[in-house]
Amino acid sequence: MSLSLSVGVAPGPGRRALMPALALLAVAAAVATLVALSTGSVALPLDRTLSHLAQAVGLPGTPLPARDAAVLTTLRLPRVLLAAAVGVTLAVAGASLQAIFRNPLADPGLVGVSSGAACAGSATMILGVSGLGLAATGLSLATLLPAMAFLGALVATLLILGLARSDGRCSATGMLLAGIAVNALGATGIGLCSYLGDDQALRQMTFWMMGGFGAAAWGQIGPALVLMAGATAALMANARRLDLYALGERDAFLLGLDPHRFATRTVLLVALGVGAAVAVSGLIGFVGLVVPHMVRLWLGPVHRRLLPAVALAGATLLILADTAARSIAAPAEVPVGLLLGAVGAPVFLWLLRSRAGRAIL
Amino acid sequence: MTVTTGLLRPLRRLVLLAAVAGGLLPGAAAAEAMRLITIGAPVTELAFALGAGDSVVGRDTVSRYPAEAAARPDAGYMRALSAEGMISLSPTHVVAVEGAGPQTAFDQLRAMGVTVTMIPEAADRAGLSGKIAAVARALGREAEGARLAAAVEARLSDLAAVVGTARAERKGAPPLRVLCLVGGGPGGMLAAGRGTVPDTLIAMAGAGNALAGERDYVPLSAEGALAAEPDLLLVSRSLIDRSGGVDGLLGLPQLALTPVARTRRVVVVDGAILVGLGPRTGDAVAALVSEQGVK
Amino acid sequence: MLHAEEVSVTAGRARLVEGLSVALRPGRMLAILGPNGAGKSTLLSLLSGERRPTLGRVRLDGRDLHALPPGRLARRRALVTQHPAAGFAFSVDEAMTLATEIVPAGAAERRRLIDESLRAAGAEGLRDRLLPQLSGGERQRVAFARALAQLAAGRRTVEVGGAPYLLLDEPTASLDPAHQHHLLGAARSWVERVGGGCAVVLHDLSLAARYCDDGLLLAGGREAWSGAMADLPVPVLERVFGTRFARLPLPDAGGWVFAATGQGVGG
Repeated sequence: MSLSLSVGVAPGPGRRALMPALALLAVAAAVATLVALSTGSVALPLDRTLSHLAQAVGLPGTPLPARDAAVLTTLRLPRVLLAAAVGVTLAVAGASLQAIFRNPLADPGLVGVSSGAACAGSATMILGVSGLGLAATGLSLATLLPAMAFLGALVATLLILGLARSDGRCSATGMLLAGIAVNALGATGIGLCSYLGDDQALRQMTFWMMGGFGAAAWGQIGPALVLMAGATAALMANARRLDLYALGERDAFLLGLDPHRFATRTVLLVALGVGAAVAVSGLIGFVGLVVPHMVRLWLGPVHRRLLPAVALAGATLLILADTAARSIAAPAEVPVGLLLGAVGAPVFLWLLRSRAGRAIL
Repeated sequence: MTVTTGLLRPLRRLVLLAAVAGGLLPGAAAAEAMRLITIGAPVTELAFALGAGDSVVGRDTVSRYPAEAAARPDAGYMRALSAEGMISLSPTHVVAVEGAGPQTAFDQLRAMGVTVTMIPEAADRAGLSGKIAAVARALGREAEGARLAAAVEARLSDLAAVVGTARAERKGAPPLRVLCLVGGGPGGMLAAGRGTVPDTLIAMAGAGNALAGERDYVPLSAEGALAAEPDLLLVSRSLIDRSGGVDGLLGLPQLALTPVARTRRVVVVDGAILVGLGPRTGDAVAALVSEQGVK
Repeated sequence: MLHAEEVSVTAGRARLVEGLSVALRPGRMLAILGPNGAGKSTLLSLLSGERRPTLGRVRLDGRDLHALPPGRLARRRALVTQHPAAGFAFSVDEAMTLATEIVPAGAAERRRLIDESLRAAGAEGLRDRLLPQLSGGERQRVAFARALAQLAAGRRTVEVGGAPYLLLDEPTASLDPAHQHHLLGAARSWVERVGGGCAVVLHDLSLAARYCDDGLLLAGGREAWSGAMADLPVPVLERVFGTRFARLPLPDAGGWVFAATGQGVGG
């Protein structure tokens, strides 16, 4: 929907036309997916992978041997899908928050959403299923962890909205300040968990917080995928209102938007998406910050142009990052969050220092 | 099985391949076709001690003993394993110590027909025998398991007898206080409290854990170390190496004022021994017993 | 009619506006005058619906302004603020497009609205510039153009008899004399062409006298005088501003210019 509307917005000065850019990004995402599906510890040549996928959807092709087929469909497909979904969610959430805070450096981590999820997740790992008084329910830690992380994100968001509320309104500045406070609270909670936890829980917690898609399995990513898809779709449909909001709260109101309700709604949607993403993949930084920033340099700040491109770029980046994480130390695995931080931080610094980067700030 | 001739072996392979291609579970295959991934240092050591070393095609990062094990592909840290990484080694069996994961990775391996066995952690001598039996059962080497369990048990009970005699001779005087240090934690060093593997080793050696007041591994402060009054240190080799030898370790501010800095009684063991009870548990206990001056 | 009835605004202990009544009528242009801190901008924010009065009410065609949803309001009134925000690096064209999107319209129709508004504001050359890179005066002209585009778009759906209202807060503050006249002339011709009502906060009494029908002089949040601009009494001006004024007839066009002399009042 936002795509068709974007025709009405002419590209600005020196701004690339949208359709070729989107086509380029779509091709990049498709190539990244194919690379991801055919790369890994188990060697699956691209032509045979394609041939297998073709016959799986009823086209002429040769199926892979049973083991390779299982690797492709039960190990790699859910991972690639999860990486893509998390990439889209984090990137679109980041771009949305940057509009809400009118700050190109805002990030889902900034408003305390991620740290709320991480705090609840850590507590779950430290206390265990029985420590939470849920032993009778027969739930496993693997099921409980995403649910608790999501709950943590939600509690953090409600706390932020509650703290930021004055005279029945939530201002962006109030939310930013509340977010910093909630972040500090979350960090304290995580610290407390690591102090209280035993060696095993501590190591498990550390690896979870580094982020990764190793736990992706069809049976476990379903609910998170639904939440991420719902939140992202709602955020993408917000694109025009995000533009209004980015003009300033006052101008947004004058042009017909209730800025406080809109900001509250957007932050809740971000919490929903990011909470679901953290729940299944741990803490993955830089995507929400770097991807919107780079795409904005390229296509300009109009969100109807920005969001679809940001979504494709976020998916591509995380699919490739996960492929690298699976391959660099094969058969062992490097945490994706660590890899992104190592590559993302220098790239971001370079962007900030470059002339183009300064122009937009 | 020992009668398998050079002529029969390829034939068996062929039959096995056909069976796998036909969708049969690899668990039904013959023992010598076993391809094994061992997760957890004691499990890896047990697999080699039980004579299954040739079947081991992969191991976790910490499993670096014996030397042949270190030469096998590293499938990653035991709590951050990757299903595809392990599958790429074409295992028929994965034997992992309790606490390895993530659970999802093991579930996916099971779904692809790999036999995954989880080995419960052992907390004492009886537990160690059970652990050896469990690994042996998973490898189809029950006879070797019984022999190894008996040998390990015999050695530990000999040591227990020595310790018992020493305790009687001491006539109620308190045992030596042992402080066990491993790498990690905020100060680069963690000390073992109750409920840890070193605590078990110290108890088997008839000594007292200087940090019996703490649970699990805790960061050690200078005052905490002083209050613990350790007479003897039990440390991992990697910590000694990183600290610049025994002198470097005893020169650290946390330890410089403790009794052990003067007595310089330090037992150094391979860190993997401190991870869980296994075939080398007896070595560590013996070293602790002899360092206490017990004959 | 956009009508403020006996409105008061208090912020903490300060009384920003007290017991003011003012009516904006279709087809007329009102000058809001007064010294700094007299409550002129507060009055505009009340009329725009941004601010709620502590006492009294504001009505648009008889309906309480604050009961209207923001989207409805946006089709009926536009406000050019004193310091238009720069925000993200939108281009002028992108910001103009956003203003026309308060109602559904085809791309060609939007294009026409934007072109006409930019031309009316004398800002057609700025179309492809980025907002943060504009000078203060350029930014004011673009903000004015955006308000015109917004109301032009809004009129496409406005019910019969619903005149639009244009609120301008010191729109000429950063403009050179030629552009000051151009902008107020454009506002005047908008009032006459569209039949909307316009309120403009001005410090330049000569500009007010030249372009506005009515005047409202504020002092300390209260009304000091109101009436037809032609009747603006110099003694009241001198008392409110605390300086002497010279009121000189314009030789050719008719009307008056006012000049503050800087001499103190009284004695």
